[in-house]
Amino acid sequence: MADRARNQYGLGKAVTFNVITPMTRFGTLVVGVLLSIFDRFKSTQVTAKELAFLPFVHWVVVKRDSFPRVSDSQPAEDLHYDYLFFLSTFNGPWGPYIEAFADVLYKPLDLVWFWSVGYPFARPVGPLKAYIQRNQIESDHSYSAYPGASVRDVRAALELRNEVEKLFQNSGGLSPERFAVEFDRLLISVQNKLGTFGPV
Amino acid sequence: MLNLTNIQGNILRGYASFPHAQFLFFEIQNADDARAFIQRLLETNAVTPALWRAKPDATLNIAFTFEGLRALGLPTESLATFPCEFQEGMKPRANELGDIDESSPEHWDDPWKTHRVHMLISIYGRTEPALAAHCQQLRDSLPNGVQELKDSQPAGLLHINGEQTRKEHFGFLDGLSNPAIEGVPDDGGRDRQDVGNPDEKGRFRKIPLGEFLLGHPGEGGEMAPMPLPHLLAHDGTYLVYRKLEQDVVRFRRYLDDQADAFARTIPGPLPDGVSPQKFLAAKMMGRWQDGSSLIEHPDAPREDRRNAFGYAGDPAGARCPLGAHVRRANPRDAFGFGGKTMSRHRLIRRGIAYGKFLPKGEEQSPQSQEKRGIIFIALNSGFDQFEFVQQKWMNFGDDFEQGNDTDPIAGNRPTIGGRQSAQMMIPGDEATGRRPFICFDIPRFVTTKGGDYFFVPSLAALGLLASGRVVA
Repeated sequence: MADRARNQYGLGKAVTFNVITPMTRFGTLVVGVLLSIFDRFKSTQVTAKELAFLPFVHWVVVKRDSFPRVSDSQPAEDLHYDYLFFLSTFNGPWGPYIEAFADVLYKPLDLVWFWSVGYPFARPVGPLKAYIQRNQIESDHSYSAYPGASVRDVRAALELRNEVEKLFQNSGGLSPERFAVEFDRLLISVQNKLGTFGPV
Repeated sequence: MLNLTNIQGNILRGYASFPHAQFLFFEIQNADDARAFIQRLLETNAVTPALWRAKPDATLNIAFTFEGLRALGLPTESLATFPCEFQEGMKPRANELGDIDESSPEHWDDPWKTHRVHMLISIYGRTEPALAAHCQQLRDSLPNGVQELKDSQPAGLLHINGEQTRKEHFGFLDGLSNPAIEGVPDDGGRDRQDVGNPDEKGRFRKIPLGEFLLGHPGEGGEMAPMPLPHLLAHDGTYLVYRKLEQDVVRFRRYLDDQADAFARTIPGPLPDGVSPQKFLAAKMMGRWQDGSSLIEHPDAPREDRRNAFGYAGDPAGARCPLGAHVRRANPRDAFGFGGKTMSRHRLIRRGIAYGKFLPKGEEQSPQSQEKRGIIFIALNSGFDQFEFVQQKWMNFGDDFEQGNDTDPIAGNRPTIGGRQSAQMMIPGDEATGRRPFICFDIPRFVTTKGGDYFFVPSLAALGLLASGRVVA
């Protein structure tokens, strides 16, 4: 199984996380409305984006008659429920990841997962962990463009490149003394973006 | 409901007034002998509870590894309910814990290297003769089926310049900050101030008992998974024992080597009594050697032990670097979210030094070759609490915006460019004009030399174990 994302250069820092839960038709209707609200009003995503150990969270609903078939010859499945896919990657151990979700993101979790059959609520976290374990699907394949970089590493690298390019563009005619001042300013602006990185 | 007469001592409150200690290790070869031995200790009130009527001259406490519980004859149905980290023990988890290279188990000291310890008996004394007498008394009472493993581990408060002190070998005051726990009387005294977890208003709240003691509600109102039967687990805890050797000469030499370069980042003179070495050491530790906080006193130590400070007001680490040891070990409010993403990762620490302090100027003397370090003892209601801190905060830096960088004091040293070393960013301070400084090539200062995971039963549970009638 490939729960740790990897590419040809090695094993990544992010762990994949897929939970598939059944929903009734009414649940599908409500979750569809909720997800469109999350999509439209970006302010609802702020907390999730601030959780930097969480690179990616994605919810998608697949209706009972919409599951793909490899070919027309594959018989269509007769499913009793629609399914909610919760797809994510995270850094670090599984338990604390679920706990942080339950402690910080319990409102959106409860709002969306409430409509899944047998959902126990995010708090207390013990039943939630059991529910996730029962419905979690391991990844057969996952891909990471930067296996040696966490989401923080990527953000830091982008900011660092931005700042260095700015200095490069603006420092052409500077005296050595003035350049030193500008370089120190650059260094202090990126000082917490210079940690070592690479696969661990 | 807190029953302090049922909980073993040195868990909720430390043995601060017992400066001498001896850790004895045993192998249980005959379960009946071991059970009778424990029964005798209980009948003679030899096991020290958290609350005593009259202060003893020496204390005694017992803990078991998983193999120890098996050797005591605990049924498989009960053994299987203990957490997997405990079942495996510390040695097989060396990779997860960063015990690699010099710290790997093949380099550990005995008994850890060659044996699986079954039982740990910790004895603390108010005086050295009291400690020695108590150890002798215990050894005299050992039955044939309980074998002591060599070497036992002496430990105790250090003497520096003839004075007994709570400092550790690198010169820092230790044991300054333990969790303040709901329902437990303050353990602070004059010299200490325990703090709990941050809340959403930026204040500190006490931590629920269940984070440290089995059978009680913890964070989120939940109980940690309990081994069966509940009487065996209730009021018990899990103990992490690690023998950590400190290379004082290497630490001081590194500070000396970096001093000039670090001093060049500081505008103007340093305050009286603050050398670049002392300033750099404080930046790496996150506190001055006298214990005062860098958040409250960023320029010079003030012998101020107040501990209720936060990091939220220092987001870039201008005062206390983001990667400093104490900021990693307990990030307080540094992550935001009202402390919710750190609140389940707290530990009670009961560490105590071993070996003699190396006086300044003796770095070349034969004394420098002596072994010294700290017996790291942490207590938690699940080993995931300790392992999270060790893996994610000591040996990884992502949560602190430090990439893969490890703890500058206690972290392991990954191989970078063919060399084992670490780096640490000491952020600059726009307010004072101090420029950023990167500590490169930080060698390993702390090496693991042994340890294991232990279960500390309550006194009632010790009685149950001694009876041999445990049914899961």
